[in-house]
Amino acid sequence: MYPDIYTLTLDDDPMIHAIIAAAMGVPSLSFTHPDALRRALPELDPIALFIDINLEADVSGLDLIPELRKRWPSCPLLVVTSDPSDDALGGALAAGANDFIRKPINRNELLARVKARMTEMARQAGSTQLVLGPLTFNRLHRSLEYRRERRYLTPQGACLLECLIEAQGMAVPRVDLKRRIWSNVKIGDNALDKKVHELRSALRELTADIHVQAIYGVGLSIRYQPTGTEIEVER
Amino acid sequence: MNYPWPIFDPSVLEELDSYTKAHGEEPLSIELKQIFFKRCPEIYQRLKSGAQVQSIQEITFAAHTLKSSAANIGLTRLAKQCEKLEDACRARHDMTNMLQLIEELEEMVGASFEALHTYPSPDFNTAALH
Repeated sequence: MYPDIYTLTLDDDPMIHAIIAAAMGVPSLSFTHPDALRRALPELDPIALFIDINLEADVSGLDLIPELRKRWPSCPLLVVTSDPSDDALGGALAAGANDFIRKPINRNELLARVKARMTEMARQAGSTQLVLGPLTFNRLHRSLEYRRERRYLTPQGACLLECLIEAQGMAVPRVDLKRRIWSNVKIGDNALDKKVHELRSALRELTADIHVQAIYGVGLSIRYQPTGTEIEVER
Repeated sequence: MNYPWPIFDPSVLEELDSYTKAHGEEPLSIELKQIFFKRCPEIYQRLKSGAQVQSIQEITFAAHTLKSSAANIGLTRLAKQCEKLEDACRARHDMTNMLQLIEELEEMVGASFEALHTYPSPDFNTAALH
């Protein structure tokens, strides 16, 4: 089983996996050989990719980059390198990488580059951002941003938030939410409750001003209610 | 021999520890040190094996890998020495020069291990490592 939200790292140095996970604040699925990553591709859905192109003496991550780009056209793909003047870096960027990050990894640089690439790719993909008060939700990368802080959602959590924001404060019936998130697959209320919990937890970590409200017999809604103002009680 | 770089720059691990401490997790340096203690002798062995068979490709790869690992955790002198060796390989220096650099590395690996073991002692004295 994979975690709900994760990045993906291909590097023969296990330290890099640990450092990227700690710096990004989300787990990083670790691969040390391109073949292992290639086999796992169909099951994966990362929020960002970090690829070392100089692996073993005769193994390179370079050949894999076009496949990764084809699989995830909108996912930031950064080359991890200890030598930014490496000739292979140009090849990696031409093959579909968006950027590079130098070793040893600096967290501020890493986060800035990932954020910049996400913003750039979102712009290229058209209107992918939804706004609720000072909260910005990027559909493409399933990221929530509030005053420079950022959290990521699972695909289902992102879909739930998207539905609620699009409803502009109106309550959305649970049955409609389940249909939108899971299509025609029969899902119990527990699954939806788990996603509501995930969304509330992510929001709570960012701000106390945005609330997901459950309205008995009606459905769910999302509201921006700045602290200090009274929350409207629905009946 | 005098080197212009310190054996160990603890600020690198302090910075990395701040990533996990912010989330109330175990310091990242614990895991990184474990990885290094396990991995460094393996890479160094590979370096020596490469030197024995005079394989420039193998020496370059091992030097590159050790450079990166050392730099990750603030082992500045070791990283710089590996970089010197990697550059010598790429410039096709003669093997005698490379063997000399590899010999110097052996001593440096020992000193790097000692320095890492002291982190993060409360009475950690960085001056002693210069």
